[in-house]
Amino acid sequence: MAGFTGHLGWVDSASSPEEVRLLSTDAALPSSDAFEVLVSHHGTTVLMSVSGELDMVTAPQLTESVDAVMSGDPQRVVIDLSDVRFLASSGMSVLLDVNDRLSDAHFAVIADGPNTARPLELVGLNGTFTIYTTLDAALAASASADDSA
Amino acid sequence: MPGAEGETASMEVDTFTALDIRAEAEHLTPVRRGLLAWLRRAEVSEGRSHDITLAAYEALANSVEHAYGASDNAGDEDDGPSDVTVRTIGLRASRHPDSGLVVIRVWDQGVWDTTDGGWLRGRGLPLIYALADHVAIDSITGTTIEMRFEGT
Repeated sequence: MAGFTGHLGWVDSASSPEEVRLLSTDAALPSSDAFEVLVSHHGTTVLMSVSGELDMVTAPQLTESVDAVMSGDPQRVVIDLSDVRFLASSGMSVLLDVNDRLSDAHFAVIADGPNTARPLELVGLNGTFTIYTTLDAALAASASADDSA
Repeated sequence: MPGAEGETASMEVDTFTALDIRAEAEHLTPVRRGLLAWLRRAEVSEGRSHDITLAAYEALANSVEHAYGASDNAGDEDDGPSDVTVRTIGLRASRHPDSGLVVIRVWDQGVWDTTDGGWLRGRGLPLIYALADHVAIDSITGTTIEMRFEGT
């Protein structure tokens, strides 16, 4: 296979898009590409657990799941990004969209570490919605909100 | 190498280049993964590697979204004669082994749309400015963005 020698990731100028695509298989990265959104219910909270890479390609899939959840008129939505390895601005736009569709008090995100929490904080979204670092913390907050309701 | 300030031999600089990337979302993913793997091989820290990869991805995504836009109507002419050009993006990354300076350059032939619905609405450009130590954008012919990450 010409065009990708492996050691420096060099793709020469004659590379076709197909050869560029080889990078994804040759690169020494985990190949668990699957993007998934699992929806579960915890009291009045709908928890959406996202895994994989949330980017330009997968953001529309999350939007679809969000639309399905929103059609059930949920009181509270928590999106868990704990298993998201890559978060691009296109994914952040989906989060912002959910936040706009619910009132602030009813939306939270779970994110921790350099792949998710850091980019969210860099663009200031931690001031727009609540970000918890763990699922337990997010659900505890939901439960206490239920109790006081 | 005492004395020689500034440019050193280019062959000593590690590079990663992806040319003729089709300006479509699906074609950005393998480039992003390849860049991340290259940074790891250069033993750039995990956090810095992620920052650089994210910034590069946002630049590529800007090219897809704002330079070329959604070109759904590209095939107006039924037969789509030879004037239908494939819209492509280029990326070149280099890392100086001594200083650890990483320079990422992303270029396209379009003009980034800065009007409403353009980059200000998105978070791509703010993210790039937050992640990189230095950013320069040149829009004279097409658009080129250069991002510098010092001391990786």
